[in-house]
Amino acid sequence: MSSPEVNALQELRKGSFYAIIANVLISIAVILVVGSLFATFV
Amino acid sequence: MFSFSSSASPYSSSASPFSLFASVGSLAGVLILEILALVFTILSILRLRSGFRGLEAVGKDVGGVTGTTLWIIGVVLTIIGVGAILTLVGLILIGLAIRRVGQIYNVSNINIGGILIAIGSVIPFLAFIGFILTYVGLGKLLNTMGPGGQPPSGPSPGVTPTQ
Repeated sequence: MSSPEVNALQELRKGSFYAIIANVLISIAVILVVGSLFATFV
Repeated sequence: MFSFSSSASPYSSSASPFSLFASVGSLAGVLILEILALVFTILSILRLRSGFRGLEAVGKDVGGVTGTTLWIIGVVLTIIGVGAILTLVGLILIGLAIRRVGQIYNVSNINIGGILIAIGSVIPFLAFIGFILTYVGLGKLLNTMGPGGQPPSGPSPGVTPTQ
């Protein structure tokens, strides 16, 4: 059984992990949008 | 689905039905990615909030709960069109709270990660690196801590918890 402190730190770690995934997804979306704009106008 | 070819433009003189489908597909892909990113952002905020509350409960108040509140309100308002400032302030507060976690447990990765998250609210992609450093640092910290939650070197005396 983990202590509440360890649980809290694990929650922070999971939060950071989800933030990393969100950042990766946003980056891919930005690359797609820029790529589409480039393909459209260049 | 995610075609980048120059023939993908519906505006070019040589636009074909296929290129139109490719453009629509690309737009749909971007929309799906943004929805997924929104879901993961909300999950992230809720987990961080739970973690900050947990630390508060064990007497290690690093702040951050206010930051998560501002961030989630900012995300909701950003959908409507405003709220970027709330998101910015929320991220700065969360970054500073994570920095305090790094100071309390004396883990430099978390400390630097928190600073990068705070700066990353203004400069793109720094927050991404900050969250990676925080994730790695927390992993190292949890490996060194026993199940009872004893930190490797104890809290730093110079840290003053603030909200």
